[in-house]
Amino acid sequence: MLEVKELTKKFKQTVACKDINFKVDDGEFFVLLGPSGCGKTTVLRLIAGLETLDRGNIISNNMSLNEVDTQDRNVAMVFQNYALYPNMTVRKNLEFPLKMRKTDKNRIPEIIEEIAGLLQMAEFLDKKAVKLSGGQQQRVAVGRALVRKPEIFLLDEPLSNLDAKLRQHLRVELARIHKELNITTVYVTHDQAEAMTLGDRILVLKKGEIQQVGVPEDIYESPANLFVAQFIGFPEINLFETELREGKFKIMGTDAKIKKYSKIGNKKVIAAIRPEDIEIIDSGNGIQAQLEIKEVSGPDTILYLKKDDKQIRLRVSKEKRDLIPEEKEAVELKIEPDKVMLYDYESKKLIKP
Amino acid sequence: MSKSAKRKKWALLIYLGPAMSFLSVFIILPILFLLGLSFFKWDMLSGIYSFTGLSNYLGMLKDPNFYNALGNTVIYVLGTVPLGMAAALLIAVIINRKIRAFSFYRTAIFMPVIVSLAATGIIWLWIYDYQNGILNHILVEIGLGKVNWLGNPDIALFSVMSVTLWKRIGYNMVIFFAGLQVIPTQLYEAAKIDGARAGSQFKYVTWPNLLPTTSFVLIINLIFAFRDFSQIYVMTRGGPIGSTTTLVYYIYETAFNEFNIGYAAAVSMVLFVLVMILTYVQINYFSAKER
Amino acid sequence: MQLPMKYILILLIFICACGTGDSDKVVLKFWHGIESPENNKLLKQKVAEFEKKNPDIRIELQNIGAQDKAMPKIMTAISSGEYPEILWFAPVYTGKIAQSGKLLAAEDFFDRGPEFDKNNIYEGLLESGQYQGKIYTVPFETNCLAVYYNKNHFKEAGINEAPETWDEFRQAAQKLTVDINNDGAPEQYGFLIPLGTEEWTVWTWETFLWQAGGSLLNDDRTRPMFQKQPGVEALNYWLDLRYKYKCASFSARNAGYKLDPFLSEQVSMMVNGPWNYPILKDQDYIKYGSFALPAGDRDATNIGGENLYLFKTTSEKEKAAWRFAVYVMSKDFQVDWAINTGYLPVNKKAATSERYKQFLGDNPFVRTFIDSMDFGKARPPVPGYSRMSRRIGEAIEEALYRKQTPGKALQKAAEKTEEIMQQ
Repeated sequence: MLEVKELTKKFKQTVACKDINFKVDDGEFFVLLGPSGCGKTTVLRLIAGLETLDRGNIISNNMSLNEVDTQDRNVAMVFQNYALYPNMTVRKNLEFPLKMRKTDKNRIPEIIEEIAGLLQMAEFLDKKAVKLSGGQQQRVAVGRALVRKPEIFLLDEPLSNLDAKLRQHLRVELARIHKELNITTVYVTHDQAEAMTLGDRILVLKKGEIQQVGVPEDIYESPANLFVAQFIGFPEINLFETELREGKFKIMGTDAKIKKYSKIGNKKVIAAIRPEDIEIIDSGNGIQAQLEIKEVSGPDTILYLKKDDKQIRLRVSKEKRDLIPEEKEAVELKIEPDKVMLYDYESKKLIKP
Repeated sequence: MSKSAKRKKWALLIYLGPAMSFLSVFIILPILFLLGLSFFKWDMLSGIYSFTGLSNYLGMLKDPNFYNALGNTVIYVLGTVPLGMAAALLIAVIINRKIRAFSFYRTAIFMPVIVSLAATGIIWLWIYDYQNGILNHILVEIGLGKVNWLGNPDIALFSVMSVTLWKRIGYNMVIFFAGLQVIPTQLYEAAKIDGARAGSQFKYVTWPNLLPTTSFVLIINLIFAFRDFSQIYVMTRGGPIGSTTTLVYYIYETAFNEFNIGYAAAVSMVLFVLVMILTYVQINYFSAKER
Repeated sequence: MQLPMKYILILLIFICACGTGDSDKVVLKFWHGIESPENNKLLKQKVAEFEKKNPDIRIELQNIGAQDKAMPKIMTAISSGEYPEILWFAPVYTGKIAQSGKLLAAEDFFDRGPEFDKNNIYEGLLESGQYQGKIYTVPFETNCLAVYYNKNHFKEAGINEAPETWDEFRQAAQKLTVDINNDGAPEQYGFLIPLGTEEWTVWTWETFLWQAGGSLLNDDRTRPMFQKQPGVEALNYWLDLRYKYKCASFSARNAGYKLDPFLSEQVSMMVNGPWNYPILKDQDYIKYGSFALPAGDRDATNIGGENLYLFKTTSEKEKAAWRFAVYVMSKDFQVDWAINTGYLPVNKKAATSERYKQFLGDNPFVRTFIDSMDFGKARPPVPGYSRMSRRIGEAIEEALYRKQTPGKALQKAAEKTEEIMQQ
């Protein structure tokens, strides 16, 4: 188990991360998600010992790693640009961590065979690392990290240098490997799709501060604050400023009522609703809006509507595709009030009933 | 030949032309001239010369001064090149680790490079001076006796070599430093994570990635070491009793004090061939390694 | 843009005017290696006087640096044809340079006019410029070697009379060697042995060779003689001063002529020439004097100085160069030069002039050298001298470092000299 307590790191005047707390269970796939510059890589490097922390504690198996050299932390890491040893063959790259950790020489070939099989690297084992394609290099980098069965496996945006298709493919691959080896993993990404598909749990970071920690469903369905709500999900969540009075509020010109909020006092709020939670109907008494642009996104269609000079985003599933009119035509909408989340106008935090 | 190939050939000529003609006028022709000269006996003053065949070369075989110079050159090269490179590499690695804190030292170490060799020689002549030199002054202060740095034939060559090192280390360091900067820091981080400590990091990351730089520095240093002249000329004039006479200085002595031009040309050719062979071997060795 | 153009034009006209004004003058390049700034200044002044008297001649002075190091430059210049009209250089290289065939024989000009009388010039000096029996180069200035000594040291050591023989000299040196703190390394040595392989070392050693009764070459100057018994004795005398009696220190290599050890009172005696008189004159803290070199088997000193080498060019230039040489050898020039530089006059009339006699009366330091000229000898100006000298220098150094016995070292040098002489 990896535990991080009050992790704080400053670079000169800039705060890279501040009071970060989280626990990663054995075998868990934990994702650090956030926009670039949010401090997620710093957290990873602190765990690896590549940076010295200003304050806080990193604990692995009930032991503080603070005073332990990188070399002695049983931590492996995959770098964004792989950082393979360019003068060595793939085999030499894979052997390197074993050699450094004085693994029994007779066992090394066997271990290499195994990892090469797992990552399907057998056919380029004796090529020089620099001569490989991006995807192959990525595998080698992962292989080099896993070959010595580390306690903690760190990945720093490992897929961001690859093209979309390869990324997809390797994502699945990574999930498979993780299932097979069951190593405690911390994965850094700015890509929410990666985070959602790979993560057992996700930690969302912004400007070095934790926004929310939770399983992907929670993060998506009840984002703890507006930043998380907006950062997660495509297209972006719809937000409406409104007043909450005795559980009632106005949204897109119509009244809505959510029972669970009835006990909360009157206040200015922001109502948020996911694009897929707004329905297209043709009953004639729904909310009127105008279709501006429609985009096909796989099975779904993304609609950008206009209502009272405000953009409204919709995700419409295949089944309802027939109801979509032509661009510039009118659309009729319906909202399920239970799907609406309310955020405090001042604190931007989710209002919990 | 196709049209584009023809054009390529012309382009090649145009681009290489100036450099090639410069090379041939200032380098290749003089070497050929020297080769020719080495088969002659030539009196520079009267301009009278006579063909003597291989006698200059055969004379060399029986010339104890030639062997002395050859021996001194070997000691000089072996003493300055590896040490000068190793020390420079060490300093470069240390400075590369803590770049900002060390920028003063970087300047200090590079300083000797921009001072001309002759001026360097004069400065060291003063430092080494037996009676009034600062080095002996320090030795006496700390209770040790004076050393006749340049006057003792057993020490003089090493004193000269020290000056060469003093100068060359700075030069090598700057080149090594440039080579080190190109190595991505992530490689060191990866190696750290893989369990490599400073020693292994040097062996597996720094050294192999620096190989092209090292090869360049080695070749340059060897050529420098074989050619070094000014510090010897200024500081010892080849003495005492020939103890600092290297091949280059011997060539100078023979040509311009003895006016034995043909013989000097023959010794020059030996030196030339020696350097050629060494350079050739090295280039082959390193390019094989890089493959 | 117009204004600068005008200036440039004016400048151009000015330059052209100067050029034409100069073009009907005979321009003579004069290479010399005079080191002290005072002597350079004096030379410029004397040259200006000459130019005033001879408005059709202009002398272009060029300093080629210290003599020991200038040889390569001169040789290259001669072989490439870029040599000057007049060269100031040690007479001993006359043979070497005359061999090139580019040197004028000054003797051919001796009878050209009444302004030069060969009988006014010391005969020995004229001989020092001979090649194959003919005088090629003529003396510019002369000097010889004697011993400098520190008067205070002599007083402290209780020495009241200048040593006259090798034994007396050695004893004096022993008395003058002082180890104040008894650490075995004396702070003050009696004598300074000029260490090195270059001409200064050899020049100095030759005086001891001659004092021991030896000579460099045989009478017809074809074979070496320095390796014989007197040569070994001379070298052994130096070695004994250094190692047996421990009363002499070595100079820095090839810097035996430098005054530093003497001026800093680290040595009490050194061999040197009269030309340092202008420098010593200004040292008020050190009481110095000079005495003639000690006699071994006989008295001897080595005559040095510089000669004028005139090169073959056009007959007009050659005539002008000779006129300059005559001027240099004249009584007036010689007296001025000698009084100001400490060099000795080459002209008998200058040496016996009232002005010079008075100068000598005021400067006993210089008188020692004039007196020493009586037993002075010049080095043989054979073509192979410089190479022979280097061989002797190497032998001296090997012996002084005790890498070789004096006998063997000189024998080796003699064998090489035989080869040189045969070429």
